[in-house]
Amino acid sequence: MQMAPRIRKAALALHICSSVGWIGAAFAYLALAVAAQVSEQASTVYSAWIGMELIGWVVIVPLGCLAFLTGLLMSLGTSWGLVRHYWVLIALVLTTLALGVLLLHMPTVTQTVGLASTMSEAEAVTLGGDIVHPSVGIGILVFVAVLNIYKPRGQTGLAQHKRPDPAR
Amino acid sequence: MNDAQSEAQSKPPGRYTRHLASIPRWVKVFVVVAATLLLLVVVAMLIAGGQHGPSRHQSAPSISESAAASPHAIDAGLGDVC
Repeated sequence: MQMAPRIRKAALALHICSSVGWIGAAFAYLALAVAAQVSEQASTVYSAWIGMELIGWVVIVPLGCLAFLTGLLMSLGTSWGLVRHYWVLIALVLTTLALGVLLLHMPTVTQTVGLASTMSEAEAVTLGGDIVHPSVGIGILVFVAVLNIYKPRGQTGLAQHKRPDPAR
Repeated sequence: MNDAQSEAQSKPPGRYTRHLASIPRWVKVFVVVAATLLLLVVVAMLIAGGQHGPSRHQSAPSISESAAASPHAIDAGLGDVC
């Protein structure tokens, strides 16, 4: 199944915007996580966790889902294929992993906000931030973005002889 | 030793060996690095005692109790957004 050029370009634009937006939103989440980690004011820690929850559910999760779906569309609707090239396959695996961890992690963030609201100020200060998840996520997403830009050579051997190598 | 080497070289490579040789170097490097990082994450989680959630931040009230008692968790209702 090959997409018409107009649809392909629209899907590509949507894929790039959602993917880059996902990375940017993850950086915003990380900034709040760092603020929650280093702050000694309970109000700052609590506000940062509320912000992380908001950004997570309202921005990061939709952008992540959109990037994943448009990525699937782009690979299936073009001659790149889903499993034909190593870079596409690795990007798919990493994006699935990142989205899966995100969807599993966000309820935990919501629970933490609930937990923070019941804490005293002294307890809330010790809550800390959530630095590891966004940091690892950003690393994975940037790596996937680099793969998408460079498109390193190498075919998996799956459906290798069915179609010619797409134009790079 | 030379005989053994020449014998090994004269053997036609198996299907698996040929497939392995055709994998680009960058993919092999990626797999090794990813497996190492994954192993490190698993070890770090085991060392941390398997605690992975909001409970690791605070040991005070249980999560379900506090989340249920939290007006913010109910009022926000952000879990329904997506």
